Amino acid sequence: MDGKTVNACLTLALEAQGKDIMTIEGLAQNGKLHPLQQAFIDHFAVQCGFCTPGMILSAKALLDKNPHPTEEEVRKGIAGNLCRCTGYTKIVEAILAVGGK
Amino acid sequence: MTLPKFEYLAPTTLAEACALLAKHQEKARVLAGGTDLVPQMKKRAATPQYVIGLKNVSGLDYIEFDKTKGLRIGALATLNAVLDSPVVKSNYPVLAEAIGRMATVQVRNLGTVGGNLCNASPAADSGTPLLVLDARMKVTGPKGERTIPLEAFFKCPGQCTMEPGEILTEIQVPPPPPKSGAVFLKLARTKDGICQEARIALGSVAPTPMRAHKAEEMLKGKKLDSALIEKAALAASQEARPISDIRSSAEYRVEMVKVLTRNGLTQAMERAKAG
Repeated sequence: MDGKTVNACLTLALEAQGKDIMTIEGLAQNGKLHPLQQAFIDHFAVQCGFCTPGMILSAKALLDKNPHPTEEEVRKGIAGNLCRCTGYTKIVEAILAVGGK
Repeated sequence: MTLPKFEYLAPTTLAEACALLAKHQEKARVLAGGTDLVPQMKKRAATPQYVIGLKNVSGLDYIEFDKTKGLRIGALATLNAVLDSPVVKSNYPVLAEAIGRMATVQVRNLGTVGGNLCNASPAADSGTPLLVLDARMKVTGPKGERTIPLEAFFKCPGQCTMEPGEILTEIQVPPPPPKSGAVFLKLARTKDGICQEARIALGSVAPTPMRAHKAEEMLKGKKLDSALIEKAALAASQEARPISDIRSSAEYRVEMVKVLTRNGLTQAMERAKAG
């Protein structure tokens, strides 16, 4: 919301009025995946996919602010998004691959 | 979980917000970030008929620092705004340290320091650093403005000492004392190795975030050696009044107050020497 990640479950619809809202659906442009989306595929960072939208948008918010984060900064940046499939290693690798470019 | 039915009021000025709160009294709750109130409402722990959203009141999200006057945090400044503020990082690192350990990015983008304090949780993480920093709370209400020392602001779990109709507008923090060092939970001030003043705040071990005044008194004017630090840590653990709950037992918490106070005082001393 207005460039910052927020929990939808804590945000009243009334308070989102007039704000710029971006969800995972808005990330790909003209049929082309965002580099983070492509990196998640390339690094096998998606299993069931449930946490993926939150992970990718959290990663985007982090990279917008800090284009070259350390691994620790990446882990803190995605905190609060719980992956119950695989753990976080491949997700962190995918984000670092984009952040390292 | 769904929200219960309520009416959302969106005042655009503080005066309007106060008038609405005065009109609806206990039927209304003030909403800033919503990270405490919204879950409470979903769980039906709070079922206000009116929610007074402060988001449309402009100019309440400032963070301003002045060397002589100190820091002023507007009631709508989010936790992340305070965490990322260069003046907070350089002048009040203990506050950034504590907020950096709160929740997650998404929650900190919504939640406010003011809301964290107004909800008066015994575990309010911004409460302990602001207690050692001697913060004051500026509130406004039907009888006008007043400021309350943070220590007198907390009443009991979930309640603060604001009068009906009053709204928190600003958190005021005096300039940091020279040659002082603080770590999350603790602060000490020294001159030539002598501790001029020590402030120790404890969270999650009493009905409200608290200061350990007896332990602080023991350190004043003394040279802080390991024996004295040990004694003060023991005193602090005796001042704590924890409960046993799902997170840990009272006995364990008392023991941990001793350990953390000892470690905190030692680290704060080192920072004071370095600063």
